[in-house]
Amino acid sequence: MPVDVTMPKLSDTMEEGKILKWLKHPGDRVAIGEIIAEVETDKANMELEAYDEGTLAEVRVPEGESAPVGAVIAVLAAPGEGVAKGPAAGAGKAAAAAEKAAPSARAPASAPGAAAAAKAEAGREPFRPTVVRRPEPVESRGAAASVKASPLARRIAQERGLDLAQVTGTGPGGRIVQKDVEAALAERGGTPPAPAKPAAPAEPRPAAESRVELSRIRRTTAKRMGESKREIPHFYASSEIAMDEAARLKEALAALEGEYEGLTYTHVVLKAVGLALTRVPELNASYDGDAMVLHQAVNVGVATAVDDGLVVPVVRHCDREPLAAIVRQARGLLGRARSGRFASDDLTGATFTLSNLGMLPVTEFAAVINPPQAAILAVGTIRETPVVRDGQIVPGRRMTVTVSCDHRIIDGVLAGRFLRELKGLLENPLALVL
Amino acid sequence: MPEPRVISFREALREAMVEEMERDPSIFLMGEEVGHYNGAYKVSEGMLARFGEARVIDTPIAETGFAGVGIGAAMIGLRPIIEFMTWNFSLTAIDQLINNAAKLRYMADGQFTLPIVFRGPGGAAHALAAQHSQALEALYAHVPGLKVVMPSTPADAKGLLKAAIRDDNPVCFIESEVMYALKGEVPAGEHVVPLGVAEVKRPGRDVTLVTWSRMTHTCLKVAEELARDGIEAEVLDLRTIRPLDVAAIVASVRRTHRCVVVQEGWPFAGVAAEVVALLARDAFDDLDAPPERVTSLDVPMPYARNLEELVLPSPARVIATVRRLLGVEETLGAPIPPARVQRRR
Repeated sequence: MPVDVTMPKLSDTMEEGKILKWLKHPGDRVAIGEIIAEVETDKANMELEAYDEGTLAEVRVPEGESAPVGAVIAVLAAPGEGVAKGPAAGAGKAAAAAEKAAPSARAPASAPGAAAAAKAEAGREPFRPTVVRRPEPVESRGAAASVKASPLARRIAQERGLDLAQVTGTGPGGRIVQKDVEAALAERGGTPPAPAKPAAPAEPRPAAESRVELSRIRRTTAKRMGESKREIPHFYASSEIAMDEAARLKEALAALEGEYEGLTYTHVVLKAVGLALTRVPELNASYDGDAMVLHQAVNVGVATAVDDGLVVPVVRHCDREPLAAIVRQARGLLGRARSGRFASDDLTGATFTLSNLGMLPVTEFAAVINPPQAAILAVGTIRETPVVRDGQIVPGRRMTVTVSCDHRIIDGVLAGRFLRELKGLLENPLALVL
Repeated sequence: MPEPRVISFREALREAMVEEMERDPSIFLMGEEVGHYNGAYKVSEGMLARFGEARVIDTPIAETGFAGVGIGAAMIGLRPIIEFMTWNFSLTAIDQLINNAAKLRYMADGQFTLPIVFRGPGGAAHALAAQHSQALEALYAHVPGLKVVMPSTPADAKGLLKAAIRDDNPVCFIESEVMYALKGEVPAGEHVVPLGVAEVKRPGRDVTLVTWSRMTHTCLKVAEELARDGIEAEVLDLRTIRPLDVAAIVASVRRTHRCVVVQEGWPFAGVAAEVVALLARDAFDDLDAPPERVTSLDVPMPYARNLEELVLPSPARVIATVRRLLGVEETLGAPIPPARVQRRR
């Protein structure tokens, strides 16, 4: 029986695929697992493997052309089997090949063409999936979603990490119910089913480990950081910055008290980052498919540790707000972070992030980009170190910063330029208060 | 703790009214035949002799009139008990209940209270036909501003009626004609059951039967029957329809993971539908089966006795529903339940 080869769905977002190259041609024998074509998707070029064996009878989509997911792109015939003509371009050549491959099985010449085609179509297995090299388990997720199970059974299965697709349902209509899940869990030999109580205590676990439920903030962080590292090609660039002048400025301003009360290095760096970003605006941007979005505002998120995880309150307009105003904003945000009561827009709208571990003995580190931003600056501690000045070894204050960039829109030279601007501003910090 | 004695449902109601009227002179009883005839169902028997014509007042057959008089009396500080001979007759006074009683506290910005109880029998009795066999609790429970109370036992009847009389809001207190003679233990003297609190009348682990009033007894029978097959049904008597004891319903279903709501009223937009909606929201992840309803069939009540029995929720129909939920096959040789009449959803 002829088998359709369909355009497989190779990513969640894939709607159509382009045939780059047919590696098999009509008349060629195809074994299971053999690569028959190369397909270009929205993400990558992939190889298409044959799921069935037979003879490639017909190619429905020629090289260089696209077909929607699920569309028939080729037809495989078993040896000695004929194939009806398809409607698509290139069919003539394919049909000729099919004829050559299996002339004896052609429909009788007397039969009307359309009827013969319909008959052959009816006999054909529809929509056989085609196995391809593809890591995402999209299909198994789809299968799990179609399993019929009660909400309670689903909840238990999820809590205990049980795949419902492996469970046989005994409820009405084959629905998987609580006892089926518990039976499966018992069979798996795990811990005995938890008593069916509303707030059942955590199941017993080996004493050597304890399981701590993640806070909502932590879960969000976990999800976003995972996405960031998977999706964004990070690269890192570091620079050592002399902080002697910045330290002097900071001490002098802090001594003024008043509007500079509570001034920290974070505030000084925020201002410097704000100005540096206006000079290298490509780092104040987002990757968006075929475009790069340059943000007008320079809003810098400040990674801030709170009891249940990490939050990133946003200091707005770090480029044009005076340093004193930045201090005021940052102090307000920190107070709200500690009380856990942010205003609605405290956490939104950042275009760049600053992560400062300078208060800890961290010499330098690299941070994970906070999407949809394109870069993040990691700031290490300021350390006293011997430096060479005018041929003399003198004590100096040095700080190492590392910028992580989204390589899809930012190249190394831009990161370098940004660091040059930042370094210049911090080493000659008067511009920060002018 | 007051000594319990066995008395009838109607005696328990009377006891509640008499004790409250002796406690508080602002309480009076008004309705058709409540005085000289001693009550159409003898609930108020002897009360005229005891309290006199000023406090036990016979009215003409004019529900709109005496319901309105009661609401007015409540507005000026009295605490009327208005008896409808049956709740079917409240329909001629529905404007008083829904537009006046339910709204006045709200529309007057709380300047006065409205301590009034409307009470009488509701639901089907025996062969009273379509106009006199209606379970109307869903109609009144639909309206914000009205409380709806439906006791199932003599003890609850006394305790809930006392609570209703003491409540500063209009309360629709719906009894059942076929339960007036039901006997049960009732504490003497002060016995108040707070409104809005459901009670587990029989504990069980396999399925919760949420019900109230007369159907509580149907469900208790069902639970007994199911227990013979090893199925333990929990019978949760709501006692008050509004305010609804959501917490008790959810807590029970969290234990049993299955729920059948059994009501005498019609299915469409009924109280059972409300309970099922709440479960879908508040107990979704605890449900091991879809919540179900067993209700009267969606028709006016037939007069013929055999057809009436077919329309009302029967133990057999509840049992069949529970078995279906649990995925338990019908017992071989069991009589074919009238449940077959119910359309499968």
